[in-house]
Order: sequence, then structure tokens, then C-alpha cells
Amino acid sequence: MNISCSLPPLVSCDHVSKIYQVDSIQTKVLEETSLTIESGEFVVVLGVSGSGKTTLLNLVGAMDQPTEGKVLIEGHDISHASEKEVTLYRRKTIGFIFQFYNLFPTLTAAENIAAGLELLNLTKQEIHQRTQNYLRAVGLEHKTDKFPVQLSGGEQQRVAIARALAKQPKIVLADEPTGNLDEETGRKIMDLMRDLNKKTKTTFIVVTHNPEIAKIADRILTIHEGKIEERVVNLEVPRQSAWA
Amino acid sequence: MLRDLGTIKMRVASILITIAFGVGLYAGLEMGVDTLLHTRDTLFERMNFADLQVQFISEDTENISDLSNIEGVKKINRRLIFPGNIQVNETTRITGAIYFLEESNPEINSLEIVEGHTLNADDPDSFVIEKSLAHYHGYKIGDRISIQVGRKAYEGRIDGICIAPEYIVQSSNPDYMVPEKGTFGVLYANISRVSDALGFTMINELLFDYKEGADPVATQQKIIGRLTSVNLEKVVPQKEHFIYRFLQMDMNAFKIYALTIQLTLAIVAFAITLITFNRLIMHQRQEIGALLALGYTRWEIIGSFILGAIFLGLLGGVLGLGVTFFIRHAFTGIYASAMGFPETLYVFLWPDYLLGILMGIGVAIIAVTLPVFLLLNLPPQVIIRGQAGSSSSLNSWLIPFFQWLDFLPTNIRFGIRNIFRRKGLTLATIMALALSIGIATSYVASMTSVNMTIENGFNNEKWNLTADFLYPVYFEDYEALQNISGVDAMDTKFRRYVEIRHKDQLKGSRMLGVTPHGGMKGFLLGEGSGFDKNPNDILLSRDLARDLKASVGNTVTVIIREGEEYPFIVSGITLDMTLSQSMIPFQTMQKITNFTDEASGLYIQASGNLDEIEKKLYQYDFMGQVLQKRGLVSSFRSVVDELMGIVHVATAISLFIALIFIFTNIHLTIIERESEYATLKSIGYGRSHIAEIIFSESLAQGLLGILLSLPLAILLTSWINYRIGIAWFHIEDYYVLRDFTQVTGLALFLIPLAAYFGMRLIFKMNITQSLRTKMIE
Repeated sequence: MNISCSLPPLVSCDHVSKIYQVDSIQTKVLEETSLTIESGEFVVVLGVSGSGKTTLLNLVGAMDQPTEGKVLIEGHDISHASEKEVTLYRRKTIGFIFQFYNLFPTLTAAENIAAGLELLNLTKQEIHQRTQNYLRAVGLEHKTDKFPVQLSGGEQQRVAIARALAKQPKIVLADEPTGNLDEETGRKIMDLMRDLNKKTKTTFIVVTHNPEIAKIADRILTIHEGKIEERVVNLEVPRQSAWA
Repeated sequence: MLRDLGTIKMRVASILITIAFGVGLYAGLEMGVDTLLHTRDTLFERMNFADLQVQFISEDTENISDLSNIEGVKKINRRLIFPGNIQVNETTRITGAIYFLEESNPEINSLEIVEGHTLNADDPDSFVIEKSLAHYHGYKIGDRISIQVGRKAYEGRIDGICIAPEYIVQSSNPDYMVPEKGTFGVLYANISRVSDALGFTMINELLFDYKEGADPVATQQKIIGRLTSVNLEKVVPQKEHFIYRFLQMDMNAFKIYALTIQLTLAIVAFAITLITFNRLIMHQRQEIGALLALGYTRWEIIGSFILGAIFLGLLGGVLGLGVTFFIRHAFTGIYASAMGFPETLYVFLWPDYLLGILMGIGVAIIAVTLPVFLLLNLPPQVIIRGQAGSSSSLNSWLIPFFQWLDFLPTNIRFGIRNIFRRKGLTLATIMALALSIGIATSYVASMTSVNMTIENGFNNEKWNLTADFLYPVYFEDYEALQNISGVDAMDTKFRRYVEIRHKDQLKGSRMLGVTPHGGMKGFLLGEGSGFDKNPNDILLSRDLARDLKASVGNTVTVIIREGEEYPFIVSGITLDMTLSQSMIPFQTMQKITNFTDEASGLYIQASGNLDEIEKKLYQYDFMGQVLQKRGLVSSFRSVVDELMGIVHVATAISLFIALIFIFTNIHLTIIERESEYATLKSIGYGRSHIAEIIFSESLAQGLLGILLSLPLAILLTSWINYRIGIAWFHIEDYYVLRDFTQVTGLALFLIPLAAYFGMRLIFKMNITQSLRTKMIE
């Protein structure tokens, strides 16, 4: 029996549109967009500024709601979920990585990672263990007690990646993760994410406007004027439930 | 600039509210004080309050010297006054007086009839009563009323109810500056009622009305010089009268309270405006830099900010009009009720209000101009790019402290650590909180100090009853009082009005002859050694010593009457509640007054039923007034309790301003850290976790503010008490835990309220928009 066929896709956007309205002016950012992303995939969403790629990421992360259509995570509609359901979804299923790292300046590297873990009913020991493991995974085990202001941009982004992954989410959403870094550091960060994707089988959806970065993806989704064009680079991934 | 203000509506609202309260509090309190003084002066003028009141031992009018053609005197009225007591109901007896008048309504100290009519000149049964007898004891027109003067009862019919200028504020014992509503009953009757019985007209008081422009000191001396034939008891110029002096002193004392809260509000308004505009200017840094690059001059840019400040100050001032009315009414309403004023004549003083607005504008201009001026001193490219090392960076010294907080849950740790990120803002918030809470606490603590000083002052006195005779009484006549059941011991006293001169200073004084050593009359010595063996030792109350510019060791002259002057050496300065009081040994007093075998009153120590003893004391013909110590203490306490209403209003305003500050601070920091809160939400932080962060941040600031407010409250209480001591009587500092906990407890309870509005902002926040701000520190 092929189990993968019986499970719904990890991420499924069904005719999703998003219109922003400022006063009387309407801006259609996404238009009737449909796509599916399977578990374990490393997907890069490519597009120019204002094309709607961040909007797509926000809709998948339940940070925003579509004007029309549905966003399904393993068949569960998150676009119409309650605030409590959305909070739990973001807490357990999603990990975010931002262009400007968005680390909490008054928390150390370890505390930034633990900030997400403390919501998961783990013991202190488990939190500590996981924090150390992920700091090691991103090569920052020697920077545990450093505050963000004491870290370089690349190091801060690595802490952000560790924070996103330490929760062991099903999906990591990264919005221009290298946008604030130099080329060399940016490449290292992308390699790190790809490496972690392979090791942890976590699904990565990375938004970028840099076609060079997109090369490492399994699949590239190009957004142009709110519509998606797809290009498969490499698709050999297993499927598993995000709601397990 | 004005358009920019529209983008920060909530913060502008905070500034406006603070300025409005600042203007309102300044103008409202000033007008409140002026309203009370204006009421007093208007009532005095309307009822032609005497410029000078002279009391003496009752005398036939035929024996009184010729008082015609005294320079400066316009009119003279004569009265006969008997102190007595009135049984107002089956259980209550109050002290009082009956005034026998030569006219139905005298021209000086005239009676303003509020119900009924003036005295019927042809009817000896006709009485007019002072309003408080009707107000507090229920007497009505047509009722019968009786006053017991010694063994004689004067009974009559109430034809009128009046307001009298000398009883705008009542006290049954004006020696102590304490108003006692309804404790003193005043009746007015025709003098013929006594004259007809005696066959001659006896009087014991003269009221003088001066001509306009007359020198009050010189005129008084001329009058006293003429009154050689009478035995003077009391000479009271208008400004020394209980009602006049009490209100003046109380207002002076109150101005000390007002000043502290006005200054606090000015500081808080300045801080809120400075912080808000500093943030606005930092946000507009690039625009300001671009304007400079385009060729605008610094002063053109500063000018636009000054315009905004003037707009804010002006609008805050206009809004402050409502606060002005509220404060004025709250203050005068509570005060007039505590004092028992017959009416309140409100004044609105444009200069006070406009000055308040000008101060509001001034504070706003300085607070707005300062940050923009500092910014404009930098080169344009630095303004646009910003300077390295922003104020939000962490200091290395904070890191060990941050690590020490590891034991706390992350959200609480995050909240507490946040307060160190904007150190200037946090410091300003903590200072504003500390000031607001400290002032509120100091007000309450100062009132407690007043209460406890009074209670301890009276505890220092060994008597529990004091009796004042109608006239000096021989020992053999009053010794029988010793046999009244319950009376344990008695101590004689002799009281009379004298004048005291030191160099070129001359002041009236209530002089008290007391047993110098081991007597019942206690006194709190501020300076000097008290009574030594020298019979010519004199103790002066602090206010009197100050007025006379006399200090310990100086020689002063006591003037009993013209030609009878006695030198005394100041051996001590007392800090008692009685004003203009001097004390000398009892036997010396007897000698200089020529009453060598008499006393004018007694201090009584009693262990029996005081009410019963009081009743028995009033059965003696010579008994004028009996007061119980506990009654005086409770009068003081009830006045202080009523005045607490003003303190509560001030406390509420103070805490409200503190809340506005916290609210502004939280609002500002939330806006600054919008992306952080959005990030927290994005990693799964729900409402309760975010609420914990905000609460722990605001509570941490609150606790630090409270901690700092404690020494501040102690210092302020001490300062207020010291200042009141100069204006009124000496106040000891008393710090009671309850005073601190009730204010700080209220503040701790209210702080989460200010934080709540900040939390709502976060709950409503659009995460995607907030993350788009990309404002990372």
C-alpha cells in the first residue's frame, strides 16, 4: 500500500487570492493561486519586489488571511482558523526565518532559541539540550551566552535558523534570509539551510529575489504579477503528516 | 509638523492630557485659594467686619473714656457679650455666647439675615441666632432657645437666622487654630434686656471701623491710649482675628502642598513631551536631514517644531479650562465644607489661567525644541544616516545582570530586561512614577503627621478639662471645685491679652500664667531651657518670637496697659499649636495684672465621668467655658479627616498622571518594538504570554518607581511638615506604614490598567505589516 498517496499534501493553496485595500485603491497581490508542497521539500519562491512572494509566505504561515480561496496544511484549512488555533499552529508547525533575523536583543543566543521552546511543554533539561544541539548544528556552540548585538549578521541569522528549527516544525518559512548578508555569508546560510533540510527532513519554503540562491532548491516557484509558474529542479522527497 | 502630530494621536493625547492637568491644577488651585480668600474678604466687606475688636472686663458705659474724635476711627459699636452654654438637645450641650446689641442690626459686624428678620428692638424676648445653630442643631424661626450664663438663663424666641462675619469659621476655642463646625452657638439679643434689669448699660466689647487709608497700627495705639479706664482683656485687629488668620495661615500651608504637585506635573509634562518628540524627531531624522540638504535653515526647521509645541500647549491649555473648574470646585467645595463656610463666592482669574497656559506652552516649547536643536547641531549626512552606537544598544555592565535573571521564565525575563533598552525613557518613567507616588504618599504622610502631632501634643498635657472663668475669681470661691466628684487635681491659670514689645516690634499676645514646674500645662520646647528659677522668664510661641524677631536670651517688654510695662527674659520658644501665646509663671502673672489672689481659669485632672463633671462646673456663676481635651482632639481630627478629601483628589491626579506616563511609555515602546512582538506572535506566543511580557515590564518599572518613591516621600513629607511648621504650628514627622502601603498599593493596582491599553495594541496588531517595518535594534 502506498501511504504517501493516502495523505493530503503538506501545504496546499487552493485558488488563493489576496487583495490589499488602502482607502479606495485595491491592489491584487495574488490571483487565483494554487500550489502544493510536499513534506521534506526545499522550495524556493522567486520573484521581483512586489510580486507577492512574501504574501504567499505569510498566508502559509497563517500570518495573514487570503481574500479568496483556502490555505490547507495537511488538509486542515488554516485560513479560517480561530486565533487560538492559529497561535498553536505557528507554535508547533511553523518556524520563521526573517531577512533582518528578528532576534530579541535582550535575550542571549541560547535564550532566543529557548524562547520558542518554552511554549512546547518541554522540561528545562530538554530545552537546554535542544538549544545546545541546534546551536551546535549551526556552528555557534561557543556563542551560547552572547547577545545579538555581540554577534555578526551571519551569526545572528544562524541563531534565527536554529530558533526556527529547534521547535522541530514541519515547515520552515524563510523570507529573504540572505537579503541582509554579504554574498559569501548568504551562500553559507543557504548551504546550512539545505543541509539541515536534508538531515531533519523539514520542509523549507524560502522566498528570495536572488536567482543564484534558488539553484539549491528542489523546486522553484516563480511569482510574476500574482501568478505562479513552477520549475522542478529535484523532487525526491518522502511525505509525512505535519499534524502528527 | 501639525500633520505629523496626526500620526501619533495617542501620544499627542497623552501630552495634551498632561498639559491640561498641569494648567488646570495650577490655575484651579490658585483660583481655589483666591476663591476662599475672596469669599472671606467679600463677606467681611459686606458685613463690615470690625477693623479692631477690644474686649475688657464689663463696665458701665458711663465709666468708659471719651472715644470721640480719634484720628482714623470712622465708627464705633458697643456690645455686651456673655459666654455660656446651650443645651441643644437632651444629651448635647455646646458652648456659646450671647451678644447684647444696642441696635437691631449693628453697622459694624452687621448680621446678614438669611431667614426671618432682625431683632425686634421693642421686644426683649426677640433673639436672632447664628446660622450654625439652625444648620447643625435644627433650630427654626419661632423656636424657643435658652443660653445658660453662670446660674442665669437667658431665654427668648428666634425671630431671625443670620450669618455673622466673625463666625464664618467657627471655633469654640480660638486659642487653638481649629475650626469646629456647630460647636459654638451664638445668640443676639437687645441690650435693653440687661440694661433694664441693671439700671445702667454695661458693655464689655468695642468694635472699631477705621476710615479709609487709616494706619491700623497707629490708630490701634491711639484707641488703646484712650481706653485707660477699662481693664483690657483682648485687643484683636482684623488681621489677627481667628477667622482671618486661620484662613490666611491655612492657605499658606496649602500652597506648600499645591507647589509640590504643580512642580511634579510640570516635570512630568516636560518629560512626556520631550520623550514623544524625541521619538518623532528620530523617526523624521531622514526628512529633517533632507530638508537641511535642500537648503532649509536650522531655524526654519526649529520654527516648525516650535509651532507644533505652541499648538500643543495652547490646545492643552484650552482643555485645561475644564480641569481648572473641576479642581477649583473640588478644592473649595471640600475646604468650605470642612470649615463650615456659609457660602462660597467663586472667582475666575484670567491671569492665573493665562499664566497656566503660558507655562504649558513654555514647557512644550523647551521639551520640543531641545531634541531637535541637538539633532540639528549634527552634519546633515549624520542626521540622515544616524550615529553609531544608538541609545538602544546594551551596555556591557548590564550583561551580568541580564544573565542573573536566568531563573525567570523567558517572557518575564524578556519583559524585565526590556526596561533597560531605552534607559533614558525608562529612567524618565521611573522618575515620573517616583515623583507622582512620592508626592501622593507625602501628602497622606504629612496629614498623618499633623494628626499625630496634635494628638501627641495633647497627650503632653496632663489635664483633661480646662475651665475659663467669666472674670478673675478668688481662690476661696473656686476651691470648692476640688470637691466635685471625679475631680482628682486642679492647677490654676491666669489668662489675659497683653502687648509684647521687642526693639521696634510690637505684637498682641494671649498671655498665660501657669505653674512653671510640675504644673498640668505642658508645652513643647523648641529652643531654650523653659522656665528657670527666674520669675521674669517668659516663653514665646514660635510665631510670636518670629514676629517679634526675638530669640532666647533677649529681653522683651510686656505691656499690660499704658504705663504698666514689665521686662522679661525669653527663656524658651515653644512649638505648641497655640498661636501668639506667651507664658510666664502664674505668680508673676498675678502680680503684673494686680490680681494677686485670683485665677482666670483652671486645668483639671479628672478620672470620673467628664460630661458629668462638665455639667457640675457649669453650675458655678463664674464659669464661662469648659472644654474637654478629647473634644478638642476630635475636632482637630475631624477637620484633618475632611481635609483629607483634598489630599485624595491630589493623590488621584498624581497617580493618574503617573498612569498616563506609563501608558505613553508602553505605547512608545510597543510601537518601537512592533516587529519584536510580531516575531513573538510568529513563533507562537499567544495573548497570555504577551500579556505577561507587558505586565512584567510595566510592573518592573512600577516597582522601581515605588522603591524610589519611598525616600522621596520621606524627604517631601519632612519638607512639607517643615514648611507648614513655619506657616502654621510645628509638625513632627511621623511615618506610618499604612500611608505608604495605601498609595503604593493603589499604584500597583492601577499600573496593569495602563499596561492593558498597550496590550490591546499588540493583540490588534497586523503581524505582516509589523514585520514589514523591519525595525530591528
